[in-house]
Amino acid sequence: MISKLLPKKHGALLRVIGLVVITALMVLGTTMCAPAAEEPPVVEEPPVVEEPPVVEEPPVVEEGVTLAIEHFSVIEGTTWSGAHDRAGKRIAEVYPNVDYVFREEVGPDLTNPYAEEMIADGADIVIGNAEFMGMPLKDIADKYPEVYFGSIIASDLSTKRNFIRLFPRQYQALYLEGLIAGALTETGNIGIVSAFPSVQVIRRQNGFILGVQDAAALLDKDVNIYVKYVGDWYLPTEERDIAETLITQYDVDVLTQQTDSGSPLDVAAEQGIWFVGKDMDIVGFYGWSDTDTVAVSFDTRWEVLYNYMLSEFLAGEENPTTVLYLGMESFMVLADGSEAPTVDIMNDNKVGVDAISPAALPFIPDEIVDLVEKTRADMMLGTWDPFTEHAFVSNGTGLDLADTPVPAAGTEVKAAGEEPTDEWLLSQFNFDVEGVTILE
Amino acid sequence: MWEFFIRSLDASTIFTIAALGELIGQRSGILNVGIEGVMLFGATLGFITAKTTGSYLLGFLVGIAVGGLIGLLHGFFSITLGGDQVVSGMGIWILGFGLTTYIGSPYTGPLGMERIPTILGLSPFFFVAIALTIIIWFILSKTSLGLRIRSVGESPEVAEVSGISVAKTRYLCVVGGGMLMGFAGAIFSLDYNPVWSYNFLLGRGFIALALVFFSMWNPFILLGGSILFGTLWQLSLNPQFIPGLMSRYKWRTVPFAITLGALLLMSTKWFRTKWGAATPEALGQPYVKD
Repeated sequence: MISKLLPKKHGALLRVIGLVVITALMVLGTTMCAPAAEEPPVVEEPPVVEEPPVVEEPPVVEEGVTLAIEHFSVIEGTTWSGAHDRAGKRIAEVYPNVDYVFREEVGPDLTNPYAEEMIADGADIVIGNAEFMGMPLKDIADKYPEVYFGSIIASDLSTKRNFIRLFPRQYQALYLEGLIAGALTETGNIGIVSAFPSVQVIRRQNGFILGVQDAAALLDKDVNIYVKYVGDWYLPTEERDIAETLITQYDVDVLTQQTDSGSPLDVAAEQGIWFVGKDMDIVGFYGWSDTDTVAVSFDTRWEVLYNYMLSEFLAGEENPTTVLYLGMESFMVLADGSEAPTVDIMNDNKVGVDAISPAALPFIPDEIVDLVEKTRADMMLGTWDPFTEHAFVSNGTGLDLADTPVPAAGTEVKAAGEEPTDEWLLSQFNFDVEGVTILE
Repeated sequence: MWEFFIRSLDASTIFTIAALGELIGQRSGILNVGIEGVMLFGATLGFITAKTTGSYLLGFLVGIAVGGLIGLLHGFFSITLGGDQVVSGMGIWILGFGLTTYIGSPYTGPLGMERIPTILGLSPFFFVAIALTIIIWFILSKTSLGLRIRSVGESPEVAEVSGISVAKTRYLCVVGGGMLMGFAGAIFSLDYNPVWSYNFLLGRGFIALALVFFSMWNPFILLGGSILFGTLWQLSLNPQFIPGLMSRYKWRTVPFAITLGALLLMSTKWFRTKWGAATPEALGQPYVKD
């Protein structure tokens, strides 16, 4: 239509300009305007969720094995792919005969071509480190029956005999972070710069929120938790704007994020408020900030999940565990002899209560520090879990799934002491727990 | 409320300076659709320089210089070689996206320097943007240099026989425009959001490109359009300022809808009749001296 309206004199030029600008705007509009679509959970085969054993000692590897990871983003400087890359390297350090190979910036259209290329070069285990680009691996799983394929879980739980889904119980570490954040706030306002409502985001946020609420109850404080969604995982300037909004308009003095850029951390440092990190020890591993700003963070050790897959592969298991949802009770012995649980609070290379910033520690009452220490120890023993311990009462907000609407506000979906199934946590936990304010 | 307007004006600063760079080039007849790539280069190398040297001044100078060099490269393809300007610009965009990701990844994270002081809460670069708008309007409208620029953008053949060097004038504009684009990128990475992460501009260069057409090549309309777009962008983040009207996601589409509307308007017979003179006649056309 535009080309017909254009003057003949400038027709060719303006057609090109128009097409370039319109194409760019359409692309940008598509990527920036709409919230990232959440795929409804498609459970093609009922997942078998087994309780995986703790893997302590690496088995002997006689023949060479290659672990291949396809990273959806660049590795360097990213907390997500950076942690996966570190995991691959740690696996290769522990097993002398295991090679780690990788590809960066793999989109869903390239997942399988790259996977087949790496398989041709000898890859035995192929992982896609995000759901949107890991799911295509399911389509070639039958073609390579000897290969284990893996993909991260966001909300879908479909599996195949050799197509494994995995995710760590990050909510356990987030609960501990919540305890610390709840104790630290002086204004009584805590802010979360968040990506968009999805099962993964909601589940992780709920772990944090329950921790804050437990700290508030223990200390008899009124604490408000504000969540403001950015619209995607990675929108640096929008994340900055929202972080500033939370601080200036909602008097937030403890900030955390469920997004991927460093902007909220930078805003926290500028404004002199506390920041609570996620996914990796951003102070110790990347040096992005210091413990004067980062009160605590948590670290994800994907190597524990990869190690589990590798152990089954080496054992010749033809029907491996197809859903891996490991928490603090599972750990791996690294090459330096240290034990790394799947997730743990970590800050400036310190773990456990030592991960609490020395600058923050004087503001945290002893009973909270003791609670952090005790619940962490119990979670590492596998005897306590925040999601089993607490009732799930709906806030009336969240994400409507195809067959699971958000429960009405005040609905008790799960009673305290009742253990939710892994399948439900991974694909159906679609509501915020009561007591959080979701900002427009 | 004040914070809202400050953030709106800060956002508009990036659009204004980058779009002014594009406007200069287009008035001389050179289209650079790779504005996003030039900004990425300026932002990334400016950020790396500032982070490694601890000097904002060096960071901005490197950002400006790199923008000028990329402008020179675009000039070489489109002026000296007489190549397709759109292809050259797209190449710069793709190169900028890939190369800055490669170069900048090790520097991911906050800049970690004291913030640049503000003036009444506003970035000082907002005032720089206003000054640049006035200066560029003055040069283009009131000086012999501006007349030469407009001449080569309207009719390079006539300009050439009048004794004006088309190539030199266009090189001057495309390098100067590139410097402004690089400067805008450096402002983004050193002042607006001093945190490096890959592809962090997320299309702001294209918004600046659209603004030039929206402005009808007038620096003051461009400035007004930048402030409008910046405000709409902020409304998408804070829809509570006009409660109940639209959701944040709908607000975010408004700048794009306005740009599409402007493009459609520009292609109508009515517009061509009334405002057609605003378009540089030789825009996008390579000039080969007989």
